[in-house]
Amino acid sequence: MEYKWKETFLTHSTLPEYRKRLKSAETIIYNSLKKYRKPYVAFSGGKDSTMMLSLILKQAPDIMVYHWDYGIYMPRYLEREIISNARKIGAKNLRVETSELYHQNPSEPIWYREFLGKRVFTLISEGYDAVFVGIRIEESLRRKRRIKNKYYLTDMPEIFPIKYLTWMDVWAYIVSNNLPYPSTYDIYCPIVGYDKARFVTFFDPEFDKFGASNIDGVLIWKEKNSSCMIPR
Amino acid sequence: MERKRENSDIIKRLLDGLSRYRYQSYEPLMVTFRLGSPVVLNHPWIYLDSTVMFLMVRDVLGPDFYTVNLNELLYHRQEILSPDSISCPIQYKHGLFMCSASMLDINSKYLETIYKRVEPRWMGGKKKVALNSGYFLNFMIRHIYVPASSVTFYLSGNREGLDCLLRNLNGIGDNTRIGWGKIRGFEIERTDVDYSLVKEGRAMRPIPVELLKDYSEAIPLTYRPPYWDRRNVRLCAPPGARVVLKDGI
Repeated sequence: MEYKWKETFLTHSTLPEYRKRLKSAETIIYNSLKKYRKPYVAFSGGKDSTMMLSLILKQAPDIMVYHWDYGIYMPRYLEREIISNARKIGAKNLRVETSELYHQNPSEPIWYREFLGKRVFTLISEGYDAVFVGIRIEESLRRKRRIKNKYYLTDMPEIFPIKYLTWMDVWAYIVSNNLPYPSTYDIYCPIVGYDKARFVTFFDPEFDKFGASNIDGVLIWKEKNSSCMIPR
Repeated sequence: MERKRENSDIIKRLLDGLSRYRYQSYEPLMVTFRLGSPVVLNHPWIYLDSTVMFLMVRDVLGPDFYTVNLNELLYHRQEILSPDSISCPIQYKHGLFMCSASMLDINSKYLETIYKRVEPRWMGGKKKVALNSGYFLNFMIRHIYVPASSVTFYLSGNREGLDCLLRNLNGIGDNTRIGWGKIRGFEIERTDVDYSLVKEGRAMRPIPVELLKDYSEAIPLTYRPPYWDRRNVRLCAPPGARVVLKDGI
């Protein structure tokens, strides 16, 4: 991270507005941990879930951290980084799941079919009764509506602890707490901007709408054809 | 049925038209394009071999080039544009076009956002046009541009053939239809040494590892046109990697 941005985020972390929003996130986590018997954390590895995980682990160090491995659509070095980052942040009970379909039929919407269609029901049957999700109102109108109307993707209630935080708050927390984050941010942020850089899968038809393959093609071109080399 | 007949007509015209190109002699050349506007990229490099083939196909098909779904057609009939069967002003040897990837005089990258939207007021009619889905969907596109003033390629090619084809090229890179990568002019110069594959021990284009004795890095890349076709992916030394070619290449 560039020095000027680091200084900006460190300065931001001293603002009372930031502290107020951070306090609200901590309160949501505290109340949810009291309300639900067995919640878990959805951890994608991006900046928002990194911050959320750190906040939750301060109050519930043994909570289950669930990470979905997107197979061929997430470069292996990044997947290793995500898992290593989760452990560095303090996740003791880390659960990583994936699907064989990434090798068999990668053109299908696997995450929706496998995770939302099957694995969530397994988690419900195991007794998990809520999930912490790291999305924010500021991100988009769709997310704002989803948070406001409590629109959940599955039958599992979702908790949005960092919903009121801004992108500056998230980076300020990461920098001031010296949290590890995926190295792709250092490639994307100087060009795309710290406010707009998103961490999603790469060259994945399922989530192409969230990223931009033409930008990925220039910035992480080495990964573009990596799926072609996997024998099927 | 109609579409099938249309496609077979196009294929026949392509095969007839492309067979008229005949290039006998090749020499080491350097092609420099002078740019009038920044160049947009969706890949780290631009390939002149695919650009030249694009110009050949457009030359053959004329206005039909813009009405036929060529990508779909060529995906199923890859042999039509096979470099083994047609003559190209860039030399094709050892399964490779002897042409370097683009070299831009500036390497700093910037982001630009454009908004693609239809202008229904010019469309006429009284029916409503859906702008949030379907054919006329409005959307925001972000792309990376490099404010380069020139692009250089090293190649082994036929000077007259290239000069004739490249005259018809107005822009280079992505999104040339909206003014990016505008070409102000180009020069073709003869070089003493052929730098199309290797210069100072470094690869100048993706080279399949089968052609290399030694290489510092290997990455799956498409190594010949069409570069969007994943069937052309091989393990290659990328441009910039230290390489040693096998004897006789």
